Amino acid sequence: MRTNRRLIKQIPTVLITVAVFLACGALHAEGAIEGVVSATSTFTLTARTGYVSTPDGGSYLMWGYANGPGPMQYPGPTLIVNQGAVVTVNLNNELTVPVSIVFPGQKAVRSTGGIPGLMTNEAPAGGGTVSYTFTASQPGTYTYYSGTNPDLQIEMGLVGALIVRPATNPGTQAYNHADSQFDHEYLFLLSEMDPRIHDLVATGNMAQVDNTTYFPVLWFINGRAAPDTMAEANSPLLPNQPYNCMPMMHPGEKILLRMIGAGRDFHPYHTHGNHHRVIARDGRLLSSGSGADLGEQAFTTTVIPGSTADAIFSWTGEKLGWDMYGHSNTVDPNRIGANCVADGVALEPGESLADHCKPFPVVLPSQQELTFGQFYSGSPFLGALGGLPPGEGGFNPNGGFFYMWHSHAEKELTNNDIFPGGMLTMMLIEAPGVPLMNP
Amino acid sequence: MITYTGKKITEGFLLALVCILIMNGTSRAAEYWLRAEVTTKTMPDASVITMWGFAQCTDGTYTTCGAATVPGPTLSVPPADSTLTVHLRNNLTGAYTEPVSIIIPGQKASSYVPVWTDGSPGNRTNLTQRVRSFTAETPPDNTTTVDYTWTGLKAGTYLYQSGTHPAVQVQMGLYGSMTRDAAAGQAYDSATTYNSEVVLLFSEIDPALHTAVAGGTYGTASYPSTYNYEPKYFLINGAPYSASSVPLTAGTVGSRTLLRILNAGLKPRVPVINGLYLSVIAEDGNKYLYPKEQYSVLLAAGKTMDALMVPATPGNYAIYDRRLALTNAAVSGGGMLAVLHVSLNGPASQIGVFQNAWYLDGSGNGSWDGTPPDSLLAFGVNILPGALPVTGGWAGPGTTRLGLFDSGTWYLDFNGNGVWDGTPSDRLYAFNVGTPGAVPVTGDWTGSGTTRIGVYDSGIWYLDLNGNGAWNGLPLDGTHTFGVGLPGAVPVTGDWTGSGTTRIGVYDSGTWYLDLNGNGAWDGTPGDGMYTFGVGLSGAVPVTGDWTGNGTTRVGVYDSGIWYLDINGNGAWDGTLTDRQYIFGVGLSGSVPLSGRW
Ligand SMILES: [Cu+2]
Repeated sequence: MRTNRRLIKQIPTVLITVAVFLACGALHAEGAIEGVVSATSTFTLTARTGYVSTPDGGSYLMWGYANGPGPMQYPGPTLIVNQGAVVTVNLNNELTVPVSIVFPGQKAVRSTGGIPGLMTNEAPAGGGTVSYTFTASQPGTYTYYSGTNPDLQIEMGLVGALIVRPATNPGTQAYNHADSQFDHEYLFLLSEMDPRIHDLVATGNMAQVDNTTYFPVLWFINGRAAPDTMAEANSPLLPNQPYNCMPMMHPGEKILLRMIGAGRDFHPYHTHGNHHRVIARDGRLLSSGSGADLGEQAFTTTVIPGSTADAIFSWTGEKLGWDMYGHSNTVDPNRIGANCVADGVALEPGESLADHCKPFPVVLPSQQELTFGQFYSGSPFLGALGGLPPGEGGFNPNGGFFYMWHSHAEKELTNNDIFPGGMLTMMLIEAPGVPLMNP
Repeated sequence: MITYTGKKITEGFLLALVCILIMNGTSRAAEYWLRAEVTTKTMPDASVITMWGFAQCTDGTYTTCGAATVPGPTLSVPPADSTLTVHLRNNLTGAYTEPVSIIIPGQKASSYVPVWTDGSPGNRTNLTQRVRSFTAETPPDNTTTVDYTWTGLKAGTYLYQSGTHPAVQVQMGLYGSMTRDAAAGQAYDSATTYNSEVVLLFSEIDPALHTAVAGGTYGTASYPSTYNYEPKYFLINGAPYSASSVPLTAGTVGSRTLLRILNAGLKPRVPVINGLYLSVIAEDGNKYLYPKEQYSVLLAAGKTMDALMVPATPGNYAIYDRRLALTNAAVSGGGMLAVLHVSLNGPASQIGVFQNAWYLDGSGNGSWDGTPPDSLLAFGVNILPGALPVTGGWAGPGTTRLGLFDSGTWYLDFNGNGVWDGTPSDRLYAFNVGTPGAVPVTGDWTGSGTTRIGVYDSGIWYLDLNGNGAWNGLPLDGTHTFGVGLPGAVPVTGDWTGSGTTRIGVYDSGTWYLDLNGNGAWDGTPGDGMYTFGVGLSGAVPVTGDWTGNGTTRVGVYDSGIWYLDINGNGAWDGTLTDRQYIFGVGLSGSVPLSGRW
């Protein structure tokens, strides 16, 4: 992990909105994925043009799926349906080329209207329509994208996520098994961009696009490049990129990562702080027949183009090396862990027992010897604030712990060659009782 | 040099029969004769690419060889064979040539001696030597034959490729697939049975290398190495997708189709199939403990993956590279995309014989049980002594019906009750064309779903295309010339490729000439098919049927009550582990074999 100090110096003003938002207090107690829910499982998407912004000041023409009459958005609306629903997606095409949608992982997708294409029926250019219907028979994380010249149209932005909630505990499980239980869920739709292609399309030179020379220089999580990944969802500053990616949790809770390879490159997605357990791929539990018994622990999961992976992440401060709450055993400072509990010092929720009451192992340098970042609370203890120079620590008002979650292909942590940026976000652990404010 | 002696599979029919009788559990050896040659590929944009490919030859004389192909011939080693030998010659010609070799990662070569950049084999003797070949080289003299042998063959799907200067030679096209099943219809074990298979071999072309090799500038300042590899064409089974690509036959609804997916290219690929899940069962020829249910397959360079699919609905399923190599050079709508065609399921053909009565194996167990569902019928036998039996779906698909042909007159059991009822319940046709020696042929000539009639007259075919039972001449009906010059040949018909249309062929003393491409003319291989199945069985007569129910007609022979059926569809007799032998009709002198769905 890169040091926070250097990172913070280059965070642009967009992040300020996060700080403002954090200060506003809790709107939701539980992380839920931004998306579109329809009582009839019927969605209307409109393929149209728009522009995305990148933190280095870039603006790029995109083709995206808009939610009904809404603005072009990248990625397309996250469609959230329930297992067993008969899903209908009506596609209107305002682009100058035919466009379509394929739903890998869904069986017996029927298309109505439009014109026959190579993979499915397509909505003709300039106002054409087509409709797709399928039964969302199995829960899980899926993707959808254009099946029309996908080499160009996926790059241009015609891609999105589909989430099918299970029949069992749809609010707290990803699949019909307790192994997929989560407290908070976050989408990690990973993609990349070669701006030359977008510039050629924008300037009317689409025929010059050559995918064999593809060379991406921008990388996105949920359509945003860092640090915009950490700005709030539906930010008015990012009208065509409504989805953020700012995972948050309390110690001991479980985060569900819904990872989607939305571009054409592999992205080794890395969670600092702890391993995660991959429990499903392509919308199917990794199972020999009993839950996610074939799930795999990993600190990096390669997110495969067109494929999806679900993982459960948890964090308790285990092996941190000190009591993250700053407990100490006043009876006998050498008695830690279970002995400290026996001596009357209770565990906090989600706290790992082994380091309970273990003293902080180093003497912190004095302020004059430190460089600060906006994520540092001034204290090594969770939920505590320490002394900071004026103006520092502004992104961490509750004394949380931040861990960078990022692509481990390090060049992807840039925006047009400028570090930090790209496929990067922060995961925030807040002290028990601190409300999580995202999304 | 590795030395090896053995027999030829293609000429080993009789010996294989002997093996069935006397050998149990004794290992056998498969042999192939390959020759590296220069060939070309034409891309959809009309670019002509110089390639290096492998041609398959029939024996060590290298006088009878097919055309060089990329990928090279699939080496389908029968389950009974635990040893594989490839005899290799190198006929590379042109401005730039190299010695070549063959390696099969994952299989155990009997010898693996490297060759260094100074041309010396064996241990490295000085630090200036760099490795040039992983194994013994075959020099480009078109004379030297070097044998490469693998022993203790594992079941599975493998990539073979040149082990010499692979940075150049694999790109140039010296690769192919090698497969071996654990047993007939079992990829690895009884849990991985399959009914039909599709090979999907991914590879790439960077024309810059091919131009440099063809022009002799490889290794010079203008093209020093493959360092700047940037492929422009993206192939499955040697061809990029284009509007003229035809779907691959991929089994039937409800049956298990094995996809053998290989990557001979230099980049990882992610085949994604629309509308289906795959059960990924193996990687690099190693079966997973638990299959993985995925619609995508991570296919690293050099890797092989096996996946089963069991489609519930017929139709076309696109499988394509989700890394989006879906262009031909810069043009969209091509690249690594294949369409898998799944047809409606049909039951396998059953057998039967006619000898003054109809003995039909309705149980499908390959033996005469004398009780239902086997049946003994007497359709027409008393009123038409000496007539020839014919069978077909006269009234459409479904149960096969009986008929008799008597000197140009057809008596067809149209209502399917097994009794001649006269017209109009049954059909009486006079198909008057050809000489009195013309013999009957039947088939669904137009893909209508209904079997139609025709006659074969010394190489001339007259087919009732319009299905009215009468010869109307061209263009209402059709003629082909296929088999002229083979006076002893007899006609055979079947849907050789699963196209839905019956195609023609002839059988001549163990050699089969099949019109695979359906144009009604003999075009030689590989456009059409030539098999050797039945050589040495002088009394054998051909019999064809869809022995596995996968929609494709396969060959067989019937020799006085003994049936030899080509179950795996490779056109060769591979022994009873892979193919099938029945005893049905022994003692019925002069009996005629039948196949159908009784
Ligand atoms: Cu890191």
